[in-house]
This record gives sequence, C-alpha cells and structure tokens, in this order.
Amino acid sequence: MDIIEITGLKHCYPDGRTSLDRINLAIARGSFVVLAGANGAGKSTLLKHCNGLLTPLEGTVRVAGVSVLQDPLHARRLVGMVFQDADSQIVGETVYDDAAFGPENLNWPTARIKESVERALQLAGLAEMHHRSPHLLSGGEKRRLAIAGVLAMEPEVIVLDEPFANLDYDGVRQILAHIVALHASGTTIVVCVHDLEKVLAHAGRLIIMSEGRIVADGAPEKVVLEAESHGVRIPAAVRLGGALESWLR
Amino acid sequence: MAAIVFGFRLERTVLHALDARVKLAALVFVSMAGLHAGLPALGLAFFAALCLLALGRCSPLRCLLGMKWYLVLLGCVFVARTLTTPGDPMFDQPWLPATRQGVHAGLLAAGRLLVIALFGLLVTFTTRPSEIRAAVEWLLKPIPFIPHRQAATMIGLLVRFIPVILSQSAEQQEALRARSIENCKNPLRRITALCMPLLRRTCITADRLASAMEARCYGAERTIPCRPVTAREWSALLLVVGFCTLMYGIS
Repeated sequence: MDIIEITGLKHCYPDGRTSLDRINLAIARGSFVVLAGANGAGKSTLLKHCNGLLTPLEGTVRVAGVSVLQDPLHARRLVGMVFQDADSQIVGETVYDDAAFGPENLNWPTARIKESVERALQLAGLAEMHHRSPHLLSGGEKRRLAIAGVLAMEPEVIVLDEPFANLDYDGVRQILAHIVALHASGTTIVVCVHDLEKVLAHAGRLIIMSEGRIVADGAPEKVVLEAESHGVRIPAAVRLGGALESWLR
Repeated sequence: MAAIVFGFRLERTVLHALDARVKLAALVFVSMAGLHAGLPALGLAFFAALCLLALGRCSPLRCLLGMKWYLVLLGCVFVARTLTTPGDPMFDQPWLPATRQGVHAGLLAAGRLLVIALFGLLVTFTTRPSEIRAAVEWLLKPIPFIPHRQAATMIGLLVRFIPVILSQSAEQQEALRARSIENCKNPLRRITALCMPLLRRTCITADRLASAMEARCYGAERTIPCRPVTAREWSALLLVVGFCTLMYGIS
C-alpha cells in the first residue's frame, strides 16, 4: 500500500525555470527512502509538494489516497516535514511550547496535546529539558526538537530535508539513531540528502534526482554505483569495494 | 546578554505561576498610573519593579545592564527635555539653557518610560509567550473588527523573535569586527553594513518560519492554553489596583 503517490508532477520557479519535470513516484507505507541529488536538483521542492506547501503546475500528489491540492491540511497532518534550518522552524519560547505548536493548530483538546507532546519529547530524548529555551539548545538538540515538533502531530510519514547539515559526529549519530528508531516503530521515512555516507546503510530504497527529474530509483546497493554520474559522492566503503556501513556501529 | 534578559525563563516563583491575563492587566494599570504619576510615585514604582524582578529571580542589575541602550535613549530624552523646557535657568551660561522645570520634566518623562519598560520586562520574563498570546487573544476577543487570533500570534512571534534578532545582530557585529569595521570612520557606512544584512537575514528567517508554520497546520482555529482564574489571581489584581491607587494618591 502506497502512502504517497505522485503522478506527472511538474513545478516551475516564479522566474519560469522548471524545478520538477514529470515526476512519477510511489512511496510504500513503512518504507525508508533516501532522496539524493546535487544542490538544485529539486529534492526540497519535491518534499514541499508532499507536505502541501507547494501546489503542482501539472500532475497530482496524493497522500493516503487524498489529493494534496484538495485537502492540504490532511497532507500536513499525515506528512510531517523537518526543515533543513532548525532555527527558523522553532516557534515556541520553550521546548514544550514548540512541540505543542502543531497539536494546538490541529485544535486537539488540551489533555491530548499534553499527552502527545510528552510522548514526542520522550521519543526525541528531550523530556528532561521541556522548560528550556530552544534558543539555547545545541545544534543536535534543536534538530531533535524540530523532529519532536513533527512527531507530536502523530504523522504517518516524516520527511527530513538535509537532517545532518551542520552537525558534528555525535549530533549526526543522535539524529540518525532517532530516525532509525522511528522507522523501526513503523513510521515511513523520507530523507533528503546530498551526502549518502551517513544514512544510506539504513535505507531500503535510493532515489537520485538531477535537474528536476528522477534519474535512478531502486535498491541502494545497485543505484549507489551510478550516484557519482549525477553529482552525488559514492560512500567511501563502496568506493573501496566494501558494503555500505552504518554510522551507528 | 540582552538576548537572554529579554526572554521567558522558567522559575518556580509566585510571579511565574500567576495567570498571564492578570499580569497583562496589571501592566496596563501600572502604565496608566505611571503616566499620571509624579516623581515620588515613580520612585516608589521603580523600587517596586526592582523588588518584583528580584522576586521573579531576575537580577535587577542584570536587567539594567541588558537595557543599557534603552537607558542611553532615556538619557537623551532627559537631556532634550532639560534643555528645551522653558523656566528658571540653572546656569548663567547662555549656551547651556537647562532649566529647573526642564530637569523635572526630563526626570518625569524618562522615569515613566523606565518604569513601564521594567514592568513590561517583568511580564515577558515571567510569562510564557504562548500564555501571553492566549491572554492577548482572550482580551481582544470582545472587541469587534479586530482579528484577535492573528493579533495574538503576531505578538507571540514578536516576543519569540526578539532574542533571535538580537543574537543575529551580535553575530553580524562580530563578523564585521573580524573584517576590521572599526577602521571605517563613516558611521552611516557602518550602520548600513550592519543593518542591511541583518534585515535581509531577518526577512529570510521570517519566510522560512512562515513555511514551517504552514507545514505544521497553522490556521485560525487553534487550541488556546488558558487556565482558570483563581483566588490568587484576584488577590494579585486587588494588590495591583491598591498600588496604583497609592501612586495616584502621592502624585
């Protein structure tokens, strides 16, 4: 059963340049997909279509069978989006307030908001710092808060735009461990990266984009070999003839 | 420093526990009383503000240090009123037209602005922005033709982003110092070099924030985190009304 179905999607920038061209894509419920490509390949634009932040010029995007164009709120409720810049995503003055922002927008009763936020903060490992100012968190903690803010809305799919950007080794491992745990709990994961090294070992599918099109799609160990011809660096282990290696080991 | 002072910090004090609606109402009452107060009443209000800041576990000295540029502005207000208000001259020199009435008027103007700012700081320091937002929404709701939800969100975001903008400004200043901005003697060029990138960065942050809010289903219908008003809130409000009456009384 596919949770996201995209057919013939086309999108143009305001200046007329094509950013997505004839995208056909189906993402199965519970899968772990890595979307890779060089800067400007159209990855982030594609993710924004899944969340209903952009509307297609042509084609359709459906989330759980419902057209995103007809019901963008349904898409936003089911597809949680974690942006690249965690700082500009944080709205609340405390960790708790920020995680509660989404559920409050969904107009849930106060008791349900509290329960959902506490669970999300627990999952993100931020329960102990619920009263702290997000402004004073580390880079990894801010990214985890951005994930918690999305988790509190209880989405079925989480799309993450460059989740490892600007993080140190420990920060990358923390975020990766959370993503892997979320996938193990049944959440569909779509991670958008330009560096395959950190995440590919955990993915079940690799999609490579170039100039607004999907140019390769399939099992990571097969597709990764053609990554470099599309501007994406092959992981070092594969380059040396070995297998993909997890950063969590 | 300023970024840390002008933001909410969770503490377990009676001021933090009070409902935001009561705190906002108290701020309005004290501000109105302050606008009509004389110097003794302003001195009393200033002393009360410092005591309340200490009660809210916010060091008064740290607050005043964080407000240093605001204090400079108040200094300018004082000097301007001193030099421009007609009355009995204090000095014989014609190039220094300070008057006794001017000093009084300057102290009044600066004192009123300082008292209002200190009480405002006390509210932001002891109240979660989400509670301020909810309180503003609750207070604006009965007024017709005012989009109370949008107004409340705007205020909440403003409070949230003041520390971010101050932080970005500090980063920008460091970046400029790293490129020897001190060697540039033209103040206009220095201000432009600071303000233009800061403005651009703030606009980009605002744009990204709007996308992030939309992605998290931001809309008109939201759950408002409001608490019931208890005897503690009514008692606090009575105390504030009593204090404002005293301010009127000694003015």
